[in-house]
Amino acid sequence: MDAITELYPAGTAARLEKQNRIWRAITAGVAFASLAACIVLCVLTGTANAAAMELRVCLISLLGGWTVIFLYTHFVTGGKRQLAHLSTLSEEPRKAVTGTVTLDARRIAIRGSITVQTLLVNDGTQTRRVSISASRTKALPALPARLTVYTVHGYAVAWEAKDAAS
Amino acid sequence: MRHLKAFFSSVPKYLLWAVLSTLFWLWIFTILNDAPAEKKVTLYADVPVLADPGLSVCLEQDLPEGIRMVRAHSFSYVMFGDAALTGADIFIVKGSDAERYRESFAPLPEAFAKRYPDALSVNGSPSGIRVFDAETGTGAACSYITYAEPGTAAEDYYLFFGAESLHCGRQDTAAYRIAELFLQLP
Repeated sequence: MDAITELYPAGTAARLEKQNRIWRAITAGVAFASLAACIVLCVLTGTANAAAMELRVCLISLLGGWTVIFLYTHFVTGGKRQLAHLSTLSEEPRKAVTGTVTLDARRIAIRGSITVQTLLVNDGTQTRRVSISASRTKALPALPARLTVYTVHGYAVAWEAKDAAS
Repeated sequence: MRHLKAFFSSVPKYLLWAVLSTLFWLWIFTILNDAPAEKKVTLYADVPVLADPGLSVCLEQDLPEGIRMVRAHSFSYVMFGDAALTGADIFIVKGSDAERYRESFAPLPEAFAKRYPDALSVNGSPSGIRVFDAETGTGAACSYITYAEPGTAAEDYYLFFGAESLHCGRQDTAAYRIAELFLQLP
């Protein structure tokens, strides 16, 4: 019997939480550094350099703010969504579908949640659709392949290779 | 393509930040670069070119007690209202315009009137100290002020003290000290 490969091995949540904390710290660091730089420049502002300082502060604030928005949108929020998604997948029981599995290349970004792709599982009589987090598709074997895909709430959480005879 | 879509979906946030942060810092710098009238000496000059902030910086070298800053502007600085202009402490205007603005000018204090016996009389009392002589082309603060543009007829310019100035009194003589400094500038 083939071993089951977990798409979310033990420790995934802890790793995601740690990553999320790091990205939060980096984002906060950029925000505070920008703000501190602006405050320092304001303190150093005098009549002679007011125009130059104003330009510098506006640029630092603008670029710092854009960096914070980028980091927060792409990394902090992304990590939070991954964690929230992961928490729903820890529930039991799992369902199993077996068949020839192919991956639909289309990526669907669920508003306020993760980006998913679709696994098409053909058991010879019908094709079932199973969602999979786009970030976890690298953990799949070379497709198409005959697999048993384990799901929770319609999302793939593990797979097991099946030989053609089984 | 996916990254491009993600970027464009965030564009409103980036634009909003650009607008809000710029407005916020402009407001902060407006506060930083200003002071209440009682802590600021303002000089307005009706001249073609005034080096701002060069002149302000120069006049701030020896600030009188209680004064935080000196602001020197040309008249065009207050194109949308004359409230700041009427409350100014020092004016530099052409001799030919002195009558036109006469209500805004205060008579010279006794010390100045004695020191400048050829002061221009407005409202029947000596009020204007000549700061630019059109005949010789010399004057005060010529490094910071262009009194006559090339190709135009030069006119004499005079320094007046504002009638509504908070710094032209017996208690507060800050405007007089700044004017003295101005008159000594090359």
